[in-house]
Amino acid sequence: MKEIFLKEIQLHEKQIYKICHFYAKNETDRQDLYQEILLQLWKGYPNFRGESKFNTWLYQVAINTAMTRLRNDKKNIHVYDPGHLSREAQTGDTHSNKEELYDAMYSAIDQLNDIEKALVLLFLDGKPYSEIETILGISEPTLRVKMNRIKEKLRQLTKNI
Amino acid sequence: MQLDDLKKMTDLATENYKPVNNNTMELINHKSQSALAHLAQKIKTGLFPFPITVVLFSIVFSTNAQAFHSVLMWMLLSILFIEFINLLFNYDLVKKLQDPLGSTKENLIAKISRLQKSFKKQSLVALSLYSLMAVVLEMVMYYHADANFIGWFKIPMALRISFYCVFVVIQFMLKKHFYKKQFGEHLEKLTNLYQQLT
Repeated sequence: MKEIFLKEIQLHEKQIYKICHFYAKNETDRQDLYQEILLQLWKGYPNFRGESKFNTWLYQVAINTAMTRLRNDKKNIHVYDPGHLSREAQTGDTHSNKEELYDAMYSAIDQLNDIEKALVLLFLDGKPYSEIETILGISEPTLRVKMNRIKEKLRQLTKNI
Repeated sequence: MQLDDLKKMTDLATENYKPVNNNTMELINHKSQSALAHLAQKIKTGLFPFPITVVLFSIVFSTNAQAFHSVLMWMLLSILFIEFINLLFNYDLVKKLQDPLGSTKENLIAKISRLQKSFKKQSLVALSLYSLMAVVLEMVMYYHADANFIGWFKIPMALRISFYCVFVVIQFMLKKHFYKKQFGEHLEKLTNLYQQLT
């Protein structure tokens, strides 16, 4: 079972990293969250019966872990690293204008609430609404409304760029 | 830039992704460092003195017949037992709060409901057990006067009942305070997340 789990994690580690980048604000916090998500996945793995895709299940566990956790170190004040989300999404194009756009967009995403961030994360990952519904438990019509609101919010936040 | 444009770029970025290759095996063998895991550990540590105290009480009871017939000793043991049950409830709650399974909505509803119901359940259990303790104390004293309580039973009954009530209220307030300290932040966070969902 351990071998299969490790293989699955290897295949999906990018998704876990994405979640950590969305919900943690600095490197230490990101590493802690990554480990916590792995632990929860490992603990929950015996209960995974394949009723949904592994990827969907992983997103459920990882998002729930990331969103509901409280940082145990209160002194760990968040220092926002403006490029922490964008670097991961860079395409290798070193054009500084593009980088600025990335940074602005991801800074805007960082201002969204936790549920909105989860929606953006799943949207960016190309998940269909039906799968987002399974992961978050929000009905498809509500998801569409929320997504439109988020797009509008982000448009407003980045309109000067 | 719009979110749809960003999505196209992120799709492109996927091709450039290089695996990080963290040692998953090592990571899953570590203990959780989450706030809830720390709280669970703290409660678990708090549970350890109880069995030791019970053993100590047993030794005292078996060696000292006077202690065995002392209402005060049995009262202390009962209070310890009630608080032990209270800690067990909290430990079970923390364990369940760490469960990340199910959709986000289901998960939040389950956790919020658990947190809200748990305190009510704990309060009810403590109230019943402390009331029972007061009744037993009154009955024992009625049939078998204990030297330690002779002064206490010279006080009018109405005053004694008032004292029991005050005791129950104080322990309730204390429990509420500690419950809020331990779980208040969690409940607030989960409620806030649930509001974001709706």
